[in-house]
Amino acid sequence: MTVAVAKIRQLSKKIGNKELVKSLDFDINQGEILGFLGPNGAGKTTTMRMMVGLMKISSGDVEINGFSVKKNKEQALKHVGGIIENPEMYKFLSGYDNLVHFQRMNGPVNEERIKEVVKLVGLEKAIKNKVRTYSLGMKQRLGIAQALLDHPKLLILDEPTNGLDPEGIREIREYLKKLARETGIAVFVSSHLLSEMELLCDRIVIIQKGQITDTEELHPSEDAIEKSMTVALTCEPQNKAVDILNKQDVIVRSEEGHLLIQTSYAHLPDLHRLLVNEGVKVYTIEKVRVSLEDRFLAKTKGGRD
Amino acid sequence: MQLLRLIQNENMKLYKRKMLWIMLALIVASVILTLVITLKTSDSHPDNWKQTTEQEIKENQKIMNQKGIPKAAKDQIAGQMKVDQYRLDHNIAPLFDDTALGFVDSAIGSSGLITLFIIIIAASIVSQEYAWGTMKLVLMRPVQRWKVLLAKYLSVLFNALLLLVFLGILAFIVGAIVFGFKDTSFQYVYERNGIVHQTSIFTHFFLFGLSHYIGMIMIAAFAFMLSTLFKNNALAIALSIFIEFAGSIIGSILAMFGKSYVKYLFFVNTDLMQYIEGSPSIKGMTLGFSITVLLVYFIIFMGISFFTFEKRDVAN
Repeated sequence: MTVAVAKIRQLSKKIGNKELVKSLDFDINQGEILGFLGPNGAGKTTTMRMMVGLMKISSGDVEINGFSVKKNKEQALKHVGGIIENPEMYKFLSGYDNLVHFQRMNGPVNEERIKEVVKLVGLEKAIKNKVRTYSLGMKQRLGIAQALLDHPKLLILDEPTNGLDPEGIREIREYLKKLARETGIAVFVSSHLLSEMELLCDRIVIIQKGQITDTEELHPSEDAIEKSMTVALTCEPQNKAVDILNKQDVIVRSEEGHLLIQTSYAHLPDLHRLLVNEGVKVYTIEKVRVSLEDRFLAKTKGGRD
Repeated sequence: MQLLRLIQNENMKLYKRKMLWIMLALIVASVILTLVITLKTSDSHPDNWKQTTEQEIKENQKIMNQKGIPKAAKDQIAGQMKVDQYRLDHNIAPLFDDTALGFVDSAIGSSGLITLFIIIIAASIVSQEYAWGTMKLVLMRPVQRWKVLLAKYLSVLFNALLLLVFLGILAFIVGAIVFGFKDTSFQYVYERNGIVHQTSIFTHFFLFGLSHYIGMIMIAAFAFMLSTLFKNNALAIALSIFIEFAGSIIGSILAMFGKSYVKYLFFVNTDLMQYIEGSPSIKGMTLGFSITVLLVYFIIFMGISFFTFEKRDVAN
């Protein structure tokens, strides 16, 4: 059963005549990592800023754990931790003092909890050092530790892997997955990097020019795969095959010497028999995993004209 | 309590940087400088102060009898003579520079330095969080914005008090060690509107401190408002320092030209000491008037700060 931790409803931001974000509608569910994908300037950061109360909501609302950010910001934000843009902390304070600082804003200092989050992000060794001496990856981890201090139900991370090296990116990804799996926290991550989202997220919301253009399950169930799968076909003559398949209500396109067809698992043997009966030589039939990038590009190409 | 914890945070951010410690070192340096000047310039005070005071009255009388002395100077000398006579009549020794409390009286003259420091702190405490990029993390916490801002202002006031008390206590300790308590007078004598008044030296110190503190509250509110409004500490510091240290001159010049609005400017009203141990710089001003003017300005400064801070979208 899915429980929505955050509900974004008709969320819009208007500055002057410019509508930066237009009527966004989506849910963020408990235990899921939801990706927020879009090119730079699409409105990702603006949306996140509204969600955490840094920017006023022009219209619509965000509900977190049942509390409206618009009407009851303090209650709603009690259940949110996050980093917007860069993880900027006080450089002249130690990592530990930074955590003390942010914990004090919500309640009394709880050293046990600080130790827990430090361990969770693996910063035990450097936590007493000044943040000035931290690498970007360490700052990012301290930022996440800061966000986790008050046991949030929703973690909002804006481009958390920006500027990190591949090793750092992998580390952050593992932390986040572990976190969502073990604590049931909902994670909302923005990025403009498709490949990264694919490895990290369960689901993505695609935003372009301030509007949601698509929502995708990234790891669809076997059922869903069986209903619609992509298969690569090597056959001869191709033209004839295309003609036959087109009559069968399947989507066909040719690519690099083979045909890509989209059909259901159950329908596949029939198509095969049909082709063979019509005299088409079928050499290989292969299941294809279409990357998110291909799908995304296919979609954005459609939207861009 | 949440507000106290927020103030604690502000203080932590202040104490973990070098700035405040440099300020403390400069205050120590100013006290030492005062000590060096006191030791170099004044000979040790006379054993028989009555004799020298009588001498002084006679000399002043001679000057008064001369022709061509400007009226302002005459008024001042007459006041001085009255105070001297009062001392003789009531057997109150002057506050010599080379006594413990006399030294405190000279050393707390450096409180202008503290005002300067407080302007710097007040002008940067909001804008620096924008510059550091930490304002985002602060404001996405479940805390009302006005509380964050109030904690910052209260932290400024707390540290202003701390520096002021530090200066007073340091001056007292240095004075007591170097000069001891011999011949120390515990009464402060001053003239206001032609009448000589006498008060405890500690009341004098307290009122001096209080008056300066109120001045700091005002100029800090001004710097704080600029800092919140423009997110730029250089502008806030420069403008506040200008107002603080050129304000009285500007006031006098405007008064000279007979501008009647001068007395409504906030910076000519900040020195409340003028009503207690002197006479107001501009005619028609009273203690109650100045307090009212300051209160109105304070509400305006704070109102603008809180309004903009509450409304502003935090971008960049």
